[in-house]
Amino acid sequence: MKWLLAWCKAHLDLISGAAVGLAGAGLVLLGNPRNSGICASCFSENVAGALRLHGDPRMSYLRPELPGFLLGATLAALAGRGFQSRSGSAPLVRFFLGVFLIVGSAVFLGCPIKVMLRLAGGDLTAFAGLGGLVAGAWVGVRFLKKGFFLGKSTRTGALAGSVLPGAMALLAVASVLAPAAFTGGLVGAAREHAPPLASLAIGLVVGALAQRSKFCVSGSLRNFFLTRKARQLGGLLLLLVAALGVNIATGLFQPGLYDQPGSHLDWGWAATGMFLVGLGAVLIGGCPFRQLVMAGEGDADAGAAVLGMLVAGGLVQSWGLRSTIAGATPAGKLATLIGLVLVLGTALAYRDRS
Amino acid sequence: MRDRGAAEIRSGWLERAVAAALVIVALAAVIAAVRLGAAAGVGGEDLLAELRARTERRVAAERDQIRPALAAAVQGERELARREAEAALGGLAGNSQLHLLLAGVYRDAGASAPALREYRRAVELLRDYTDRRSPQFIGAGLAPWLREVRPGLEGAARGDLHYLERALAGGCS
Repeated sequence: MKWLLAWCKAHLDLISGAAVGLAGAGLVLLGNPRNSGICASCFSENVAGALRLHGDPRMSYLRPELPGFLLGATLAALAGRGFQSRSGSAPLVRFFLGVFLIVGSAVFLGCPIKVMLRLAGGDLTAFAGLGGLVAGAWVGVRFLKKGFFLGKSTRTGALAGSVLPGAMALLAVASVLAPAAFTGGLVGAAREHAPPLASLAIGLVVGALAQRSKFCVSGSLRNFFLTRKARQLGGLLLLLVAALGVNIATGLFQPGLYDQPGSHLDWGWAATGMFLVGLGAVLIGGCPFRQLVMAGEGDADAGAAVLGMLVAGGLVQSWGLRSTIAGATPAGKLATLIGLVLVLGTALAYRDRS
Repeated sequence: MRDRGAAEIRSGWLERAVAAALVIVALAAVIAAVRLGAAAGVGGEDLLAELRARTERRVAAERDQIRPALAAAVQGERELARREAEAALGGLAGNSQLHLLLAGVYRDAGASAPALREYRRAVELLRDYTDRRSPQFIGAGLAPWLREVRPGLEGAARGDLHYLERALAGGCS
């Protein structure tokens, strides 16, 4: 038993990867949209809609998974005495980078976790997004090696790090007890959802595991490029294998290029969108999912990024930045290019010039 | 000494400019609030009733424009239905029902490419048509037909077919 515990502790990143894969595929079986069991960017858009930050009823639903990820991390951090309220590392810059993480994801149609889940569902168009994500992470690592640093965060009063977990706790309770208080959940993709309690429970478990293991898709790529050790990609690989296994077993694996759910054929823009996400994620220490987890640990700077993600969840819908199944929109393409300029500008501005 | 004096003068100007801007913004806010309040007082209810009446008139007018095409289609007069629908589209380009009706007419006539184009326009206008849980879902009849016509399609028609297949596949979009 002891050796098993020790093994689990040593391989927590692999276990977390597998858990995210199983949860992603399992949530689809429970009712979430196909290939979208877990997607931090889609969920941000859904929650933004539920809070009336945009008016598309098809993308408005208070998904309990989102507060679940953050609160799971909070609980795990509190249990492991890892909860530490801290801030001061360029929160406004992180806010805007959080915005562009969602803009890039909306152009691709999914966050880095969804890239893997789409691949596991047989969506071959997701390879374009994967290519963009890997390239973006590689460029981000170049900047890290050049001394990119957003500044040191320092310990602050407990309130700063508790604001977002507190707000998410309210949302989580409301999503289960009074879902009618929020807009949406009635038509389109928003209508496809797992039972709220199951969603919340899975969100809590996945968030807690991710807090302990620091699992993150972009983070795995970053660590691989930094260390050149294939072991760093183990969690990612297990995510893919676990989701693929469930999809094959349940008949949800349907390989194809043209008829995939929640996809489009603008491969160049899909890759560019995910390049923006990969780059931005490496610069602020993780993809949208990881930002939620860090915010749950008391990191108010990551909390600023999460707020940026929620604001962007509204903007990508209201401003027509989100791609449709017909392809990337002109506004989405422009926003991606602006995002690239601003994120690269930030990377240059904060590199070590000494 | 002179530099310090100049800095103080510049600082004074800046403060005055900021104060003036704040006064202007505050005045603008007060004027806007008063005008909004006045507009609401002058008859928000009347405005709402007028909007409701306008919408009802528009819906009734649209129904009248669609009716001939629908009647012809029900009676099996395919050519007449097509002509009526195309004529009605001149004034109702954004009507999903008309595009769906035209798609059905073209499909019955064996014209796959225009049928696919019209199905796509209908779905672009109203995604409920491909929503499994919507009462307006048309996928049960559409999906087998798409499989049937797929082999002979090329160019834009193939693009329309793939669009419809993706729409029917669902997902988060």
